[in-house]
Amino acid sequence: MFRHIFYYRLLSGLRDRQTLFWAFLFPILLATLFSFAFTDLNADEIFNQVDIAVIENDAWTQDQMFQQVINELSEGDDALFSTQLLTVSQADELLQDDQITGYIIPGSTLEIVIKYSGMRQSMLKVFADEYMQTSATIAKILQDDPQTDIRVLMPDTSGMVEDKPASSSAPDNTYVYYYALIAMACLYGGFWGFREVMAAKANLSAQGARVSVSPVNKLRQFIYAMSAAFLIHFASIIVLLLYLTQIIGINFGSQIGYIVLASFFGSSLGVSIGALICVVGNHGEGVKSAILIGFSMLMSFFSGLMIADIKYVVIKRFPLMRWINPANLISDAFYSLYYYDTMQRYWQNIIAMLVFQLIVGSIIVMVMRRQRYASI
Amino acid sequence: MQVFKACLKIIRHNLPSMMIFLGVFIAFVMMVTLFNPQAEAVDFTASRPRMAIINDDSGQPISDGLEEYLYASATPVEIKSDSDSIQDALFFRDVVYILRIPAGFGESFIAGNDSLKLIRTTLPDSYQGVYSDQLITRYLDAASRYLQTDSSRDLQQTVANIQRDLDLEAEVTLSSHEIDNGFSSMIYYYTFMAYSLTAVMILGVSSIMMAFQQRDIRLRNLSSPVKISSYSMQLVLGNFFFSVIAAIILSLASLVFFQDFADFRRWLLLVLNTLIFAVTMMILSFLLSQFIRSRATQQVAANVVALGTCFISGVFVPQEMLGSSVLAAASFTPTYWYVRAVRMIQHMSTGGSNELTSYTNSLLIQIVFALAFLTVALVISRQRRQSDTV
Repeated sequence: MFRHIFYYRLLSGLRDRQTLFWAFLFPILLATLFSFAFTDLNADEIFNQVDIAVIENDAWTQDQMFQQVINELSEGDDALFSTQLLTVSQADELLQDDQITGYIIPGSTLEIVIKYSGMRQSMLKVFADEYMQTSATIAKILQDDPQTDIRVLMPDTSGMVEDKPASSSAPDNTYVYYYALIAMACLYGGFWGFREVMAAKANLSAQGARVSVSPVNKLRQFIYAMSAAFLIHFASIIVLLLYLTQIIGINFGSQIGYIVLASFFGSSLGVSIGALICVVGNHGEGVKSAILIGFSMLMSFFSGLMIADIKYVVIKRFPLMRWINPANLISDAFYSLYYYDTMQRYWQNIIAMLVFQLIVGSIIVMVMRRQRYASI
Repeated sequence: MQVFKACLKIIRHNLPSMMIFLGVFIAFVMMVTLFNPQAEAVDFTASRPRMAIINDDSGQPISDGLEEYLYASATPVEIKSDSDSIQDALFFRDVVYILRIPAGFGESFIAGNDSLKLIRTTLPDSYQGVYSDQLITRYLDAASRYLQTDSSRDLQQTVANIQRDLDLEAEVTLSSHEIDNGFSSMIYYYTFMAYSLTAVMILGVSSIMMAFQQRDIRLRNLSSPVKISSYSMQLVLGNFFFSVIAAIILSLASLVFFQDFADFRRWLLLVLNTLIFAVTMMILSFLLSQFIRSRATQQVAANVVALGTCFISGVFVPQEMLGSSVLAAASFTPTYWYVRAVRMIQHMSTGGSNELTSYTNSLLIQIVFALAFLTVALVISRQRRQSDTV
């Protein structure tokens, strides 16, 4: 009986071309878009060349050192600033037109005028602070001893700090997005579970009504059908993993067996959750599918799909969310494989997924068993 | 107006699922606004890095001075020193920078020896981490200058000098009408609304349209004596009704954050932008729904379009951080222009007219997108009527 039901449910799934096509293609499409959006994210060129202006006042003409520093920072291909010398009114005009990030008014205290705060503006502020502090130090030293050799006043202490990484892998933030994407793909496996319940419950489809009058143990029949749904979905997750590792180049650490294991549980959890949402309640397909979509999107959001930092904020404020959000369990399993040196966190996630799976499975069985319909 | 009436009936019938979509995405945009995780990226000098310092060299003035200076500019955090706790603390951003000052560092530094180094554990590529590095370099540079020139070797005096110099700060003047750290909650809310609105529009419009896409119903409708253009326009009108209601509900929800914003004129500009974006996305969804026949395809379309456009248009990742090629591609989506209009409103100074022009242009471009989508949608629906496969 297993072979028969499994085979025909598999065939039915494979012949649902439109669903099948999208199930395989859509996480890949999204992964491609992610990699496109992230290509330049960590590249240096974006932060280069902040357009600024310096006001040409008396303080500027007198301050040789400031002129020298500004000129040095504005020269060459990797210059930090692109600088213009202007009057206040000219600079104001450029600032209003967004042609410069801000301008500096030289003086004993440097004054920065910016239009609004932002990353480039912060860089300008950091520079001005640093310049004032350094020149105060040098002025004090020269005041105490005018004979000081200027060369010792330009030390290089940047090599004084040594890195001791917390883990052998660098915590690359963009990976969180991809891990959350796998988690989302797993949760969207819910549609395969959803489909099986639709085909098995007598009050949801004509097919369900027909299947319900057949002399086969309902639980077994349902489990066989779910295995077929799971197989299709698991295959789509494997294709996604292959795409991520081979084509986009995402690092999951080297433990291929653990990765497949995490995907296996993630996929089966996703398919079961979809079945659970379809089983509970008497609403129509539209409402249930809305619940499934809303649930998957919200959970993926909490696991960092849209903004990676949300993951930390949410878990910090509501520690329980770490354990009850299935998307977080799945993405965290991948993340811990990559980031942590010990396997403890990985197994915590796998066990949590198993417990989750058991709870979801039991609820489905409790609801589905011995259902009778007076009239449908 | 039978088609329009039927449309309204279907909306009423689908109300529960519409409410679920709307609820989920209002929850989404509310939570993003409340948590506000992007503020650090935009103004990193305003945030105090969360730092833990393990000083094994306490008692030495230079080392103690470093600890004191860093703690004055950072938020001190206590952590356990085993590797698991450190990994967890870093992972959950409890701490972004852990600095260990090894025993004997102060003396070694005074001697001009660079073999004994400070040891840092941090998150690479985080602004707070880079900013912390800068703070340390500033202190060490200043210390090095004083130490190499001061023959008296009065360390207490040296540290006092360093502290005094490092207290200096440039003065910042904001020329625009902006309140403190810029990204007010309201702007934040409207930026993220691009995602919510796109998803709600695609899910909602395709739910409505799915009823009309059923084969038998299409055949019946096509054989009726209503002109196909009138039929299509009535459908668009029904969806228009839905999009305006959804945009208004989402905009009203933003009033929760109004007290931080308190600028009614700019709020109205945000709402106007939202309404135009909602209608544009509605027409795009109308176009897409010609191809959406099942619930599974519906969620795929909503996901790919909403996430994809929002990622490249600077909704989730600020536009400054995206590469120029990404932004160039993004300018072919209405989402990019919506976000741009929101940013123009954010930066609108009291008297400046540049932003207003830019804002108006962004709105006009969105309208052009809407018209282009509408034309394509009408052409497709007309063609499909004439093709053999309905």
